[in-house]
Parts: sequence; structure tokens; C-alpha cells
Amino acid sequence: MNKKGVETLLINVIYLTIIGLILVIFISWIAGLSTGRITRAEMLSKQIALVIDSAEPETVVSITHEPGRIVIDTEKKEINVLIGQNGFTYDYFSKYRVSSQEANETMTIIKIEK
Amino acid sequence: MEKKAQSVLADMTFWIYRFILIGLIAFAFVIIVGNKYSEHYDVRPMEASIISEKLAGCITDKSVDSESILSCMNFKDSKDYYLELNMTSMDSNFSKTITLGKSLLKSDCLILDQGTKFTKMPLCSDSRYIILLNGERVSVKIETDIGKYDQNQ
Repeated sequence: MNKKGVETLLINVIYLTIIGLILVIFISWIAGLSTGRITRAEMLSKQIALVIDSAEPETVVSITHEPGRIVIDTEKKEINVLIGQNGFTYDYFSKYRVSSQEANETMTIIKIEK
Repeated sequence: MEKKAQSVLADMTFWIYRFILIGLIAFAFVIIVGNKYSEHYDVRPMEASIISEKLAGCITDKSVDSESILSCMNFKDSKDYYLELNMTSMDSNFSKTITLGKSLLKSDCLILDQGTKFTKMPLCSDSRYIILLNGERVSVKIETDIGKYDQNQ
């Protein structure tokens, strides 16, 4: 292969690599959106907020979820759900004392007390 | 030498053109797909229903006021809410209106009622209850308007 040929091949390889990278980023972004991985944390945090808001005192709610963390900030009255790399925070207004306990990676127990 | 420089310039222009083209196509896809999937899960209708139910439970006597409602509801801050209670007795001439929260949401809801659409739209909800207060039947109309645009739209 002559010098010109090597140069052209190199340029084409760089070009294809850049296009490949763009495609991989783009496809993984669309896959994340369409399979709902990004919105799952959002749905879970909002549904937990609704459950807490409507719950009466002395209620215990056991939530089974995908591997991740559910953290309840009682100071800010916020529920923070982290599933994989995606997190979402939603606030609740219940006047009762809310606490959460992580049973295992896929189960969280939420207690609503007076 | 001049011919070589021209050839390099032509090559560069061609590459830039190709990258701009790819960039434009990718940008268009991102806009279209992003618009399709970026809508949030709107829980405000359910939240409004829970709020109005809790609010109705806060009305224990005729002397209820915005302070007692606020402490009963225990909102972290009421900038995302506008609540309006209209109490009218069915047995006497007692009537009372209590409002709390961000009144701008009420005006946004009035604009929405007239059919105007805008990007950050509040959730406007009305519910009615009949409550027995001091032996009187009191009709309570609760208007619950919720903002929380960024998390729900």
C-alpha cells in the first residue's frame, strides 16, 4: 500500500470510529428512554409520595423495587429514589413521621407514624 | 505545492461538510426523540385529590382559618399550591372563604379555563363535600391548584 493509500485508510478509520461512537451514545440514550429505565426512578418516587400523603398513621408499606436505594429526607420532606445511575426526588406533605428501612437491595419498608 | 494545498483544503471542506451533516441529522433525532419521551409522569391529579380530602378533614369547626389549615396540612412551603375553601351553610346564612398558597396559580387556572394553553400549566381541581359542623350541614367547595411544573410536565 502506498503512502496515499495508508493516509486515506487512516482517515476513513477515524471517521468510522467517530460515527460509531456517536451512534453508540445515541442508541444507548434512546434505549434508556424507550425501556423506561430513566423514568422508573421518577415513577417510584412519585408513587411513594402519594402513598405517604394518603396514608394514615401506623401504616407500614413494603415496597419491592429494582436494585437501588430509596432515601426519605424527613427534614426536607423529600423522597429520593436511585435506580442504577438514575435518580429522582419528589416531595410529600404528610404531617406524620415517616421513616424508611432498607430490608435488602430490592425491598424497602416505609413506616408512617404519628 | 499550490495544487497540494488546494487538495488538502478541498478534503478538509468535505470532512467539515460531512460532520455538519451528521451533526444536523443527530440533532434532529435528539429533538424528536427527546420531545417524545421527555414528558414527566404527572401525578398532580392524584395529589390534588389527596390534598382536598385531607383538607376537608381539617375543617373541624366554623372558626377554621388559613393558619389552622396550614398547620393541619403541614405543607413544607405553599409556593407550589393554591387552596381555596368556600364554606356555605345549608341551614343558616353562615359562609366563609379561606385561601392560602400562591394566588398566581389561581389566575393561571382562570386563563386555562378560557381555553388558553401555555407551557407551564398548573393542575386545577375542584371538589365538593358536605360536612356537619356544630350540627349544621355545611357545603364545602375546595379548589386545589398545583404548580410543580418541572417535576410533572
